[in-house]
Amino acid sequence: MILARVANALYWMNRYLERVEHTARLLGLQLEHLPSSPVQEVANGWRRLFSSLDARPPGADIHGGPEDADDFFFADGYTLTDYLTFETTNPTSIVFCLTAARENARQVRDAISNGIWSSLNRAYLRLRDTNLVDIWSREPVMLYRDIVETVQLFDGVCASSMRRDAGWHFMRIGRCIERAQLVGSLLEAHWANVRDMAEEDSDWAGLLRDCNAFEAYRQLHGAQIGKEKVLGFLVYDAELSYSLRFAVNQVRSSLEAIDPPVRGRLPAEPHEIVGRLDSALSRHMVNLTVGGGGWYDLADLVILCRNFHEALERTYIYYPTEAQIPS
Amino acid sequence: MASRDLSQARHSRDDAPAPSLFGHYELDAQFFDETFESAGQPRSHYRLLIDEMERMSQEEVTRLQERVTRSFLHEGITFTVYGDEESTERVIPIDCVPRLVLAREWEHIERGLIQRVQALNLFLADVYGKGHILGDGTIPRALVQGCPNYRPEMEGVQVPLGAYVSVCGSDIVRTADGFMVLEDNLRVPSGVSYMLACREAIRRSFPRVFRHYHVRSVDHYGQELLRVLRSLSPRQGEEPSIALLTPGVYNSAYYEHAFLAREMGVELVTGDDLLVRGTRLYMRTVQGLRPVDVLYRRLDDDFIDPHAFRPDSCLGVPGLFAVYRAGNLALANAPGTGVADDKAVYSYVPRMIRYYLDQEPILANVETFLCREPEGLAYTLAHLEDLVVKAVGESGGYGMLMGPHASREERGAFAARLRERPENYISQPVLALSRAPCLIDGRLEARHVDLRPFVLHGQETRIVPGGLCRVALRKGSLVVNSSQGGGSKDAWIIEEDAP
Repeated sequence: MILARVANALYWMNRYLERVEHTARLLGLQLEHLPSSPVQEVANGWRRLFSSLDARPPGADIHGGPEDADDFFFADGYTLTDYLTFETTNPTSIVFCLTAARENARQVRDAISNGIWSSLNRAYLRLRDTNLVDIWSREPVMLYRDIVETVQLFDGVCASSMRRDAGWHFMRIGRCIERAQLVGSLLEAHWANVRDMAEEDSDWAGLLRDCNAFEAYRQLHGAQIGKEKVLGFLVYDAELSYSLRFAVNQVRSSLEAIDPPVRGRLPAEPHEIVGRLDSALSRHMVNLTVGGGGWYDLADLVILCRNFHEALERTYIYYPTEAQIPS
Repeated sequence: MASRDLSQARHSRDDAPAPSLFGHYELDAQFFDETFESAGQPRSHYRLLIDEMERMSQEEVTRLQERVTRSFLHEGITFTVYGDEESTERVIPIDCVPRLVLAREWEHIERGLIQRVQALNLFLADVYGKGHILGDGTIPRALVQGCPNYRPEMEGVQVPLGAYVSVCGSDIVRTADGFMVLEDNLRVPSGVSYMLACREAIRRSFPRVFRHYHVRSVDHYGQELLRVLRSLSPRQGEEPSIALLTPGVYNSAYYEHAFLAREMGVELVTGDDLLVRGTRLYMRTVQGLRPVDVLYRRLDDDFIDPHAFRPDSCLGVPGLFAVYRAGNLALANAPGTGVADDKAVYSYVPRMIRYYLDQEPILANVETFLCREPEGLAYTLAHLEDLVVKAVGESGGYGMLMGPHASREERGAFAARLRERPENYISQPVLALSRAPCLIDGRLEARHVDLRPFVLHGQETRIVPGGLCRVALRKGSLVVNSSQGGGSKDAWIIEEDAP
């Protein structure tokens, strides 16, 4: 039994942390490859990163509309990095998301252990005391590795100290639904970017790295990197922790742990939506080629993730109380 | 590891004789010093601690202090200060030198506080019940019923076990005349989490001395509190559902609320989590509504129920008081206890003890002049420069005048306010609070201290042996409130024949 407010805060804490990790990982990779990559690839990298966050670069309003492909040529790497890391008014920045994760953790300080809290709090304090001017000329990549490791440490502390109760499952749902949404948007953005490019220019390896899947891909498919194999891997692979299918599977199993489905009764709304997502992915019903004949586009999956979130809130957090009094 | 550090310390001292930590420690005959009998002559029970500290180099002591402060920061033991643009979180200042209290001194305090809390509970049951003590004029009816914290809504309400005050934090001060009770906090006393957090940090800092002193444990406070809360449940024989009600993360004591909820393993709830349906209180869980039997509320009376008390409160729960009156919910503390820690009613506590318990008070009160009485007002006005004047309705060190430290103008302005609303004020002599060593800028200096033990009252009255030792960190200051530049120390209750 868990308070609705507590479940909500645990869920959001993990959504925000997933975002922190995602942005830090992608930024770290982008900065690592900045010195050696062709300009086109650098611009593609920024575009992919911003699109996956559903965000626009600072100054986009000045230089043109949302579709203006040249936004990223106007902003330099420092400005974009600063904006995505330290800009407190940018709701997609790492500092914004980490602060929000910590605020949610503070709301449920009684429901999480000291170790969980302090792993998060220390990361927050460290980031608060860092600024980009000081690290830019040295090794900014280290900052992002550090942030990714912090989130992994947080996960480790949770995994080793929490009971697998409803709180744990709400955390996992938050983590995995955010992951599905981010990866879905990332694939969609990359796909839109490279649609008209030659395959060798399309940086599929970069996309794999963004999804923490490069090593795993090579182990499975060898060094040959091909568009269809990469997309299939990132969307349908059932064993890859950053694939859409894996993330959705986790959401489904956690949801069923919180609220087991009852045979012969209509599934609750969240169960119904996650069921649709799950079957789309396990039955390979997604369009991954131009003009493909699948039932869903990647964009549809992202919308289903959003619908799932709303249904989850309606069902477990902000439900009407009139009909709820136990007899 | 400790021995290596110590040997290094000695080594560095051989190279260049560093000034002793206590080299600047000043004694003042006006003030009882907790640690030293006379210059260079520690009280015998302090000797071991002082030896240990003197073995450390100044850097080591400073590092130790930094470690303690940092661990507070990481654990989030902070309070929030609201500025113009953004709020900042500050660590509660904690001083790493523990205060030692001898077992026999403690037992005196303990007996005195137990006696006091029992009398205060009987007083509350009486004034909200038959009102004997008011009827026979032992305490003026007008004083009690005119008190802003008197709650007529509580008249005739059946309170489980007669425990109006389940948690009390009384402030004990020591002067050359011994221990006294400066005030009782009977509404929502705070600070117990700092007592426990200080203990954890300081025990880590002085592991060896801690063991040698056989310091009495305070670690079971959460269990004791839980036991009291369970005993109040209206559904005895069933497993009670208990929650702690907090105003929320923006409250300065939020850390404590979360801490205690975790210590006890009960839900931490805000007003939004609770609702009244029919005659019961429920909390919203992900699986629907679940009833609540006992609420340890850390919210003032005013805010708990906008229907019964302040209509503009959005922190509480509409209808909560009706559930309470119907006997379907226990509240700790009960509403209306503020009438007994009113600064004017305070002066009658010794009389309450004699009246209800037929005993002489074990702990003395501080002499108090009631400005509502003509003699009290005249005396106060004539001696303003020697007195502390306090507004009866305020707490936390607000709305007071420290006569000896105030300017002529400040005293003049205060006198005008006094004449205007004398019933709002009381005055007391300035107390020569005892002093104890604190680490200030790398060396030890004497600062004024008090002690707030936490009394728990249910079927029986108990106190975990210890308390929050509050320190006025500003030099010469006698005000220990954390809102006024105060800090805290660990207080160790130690056996007489410890080393």
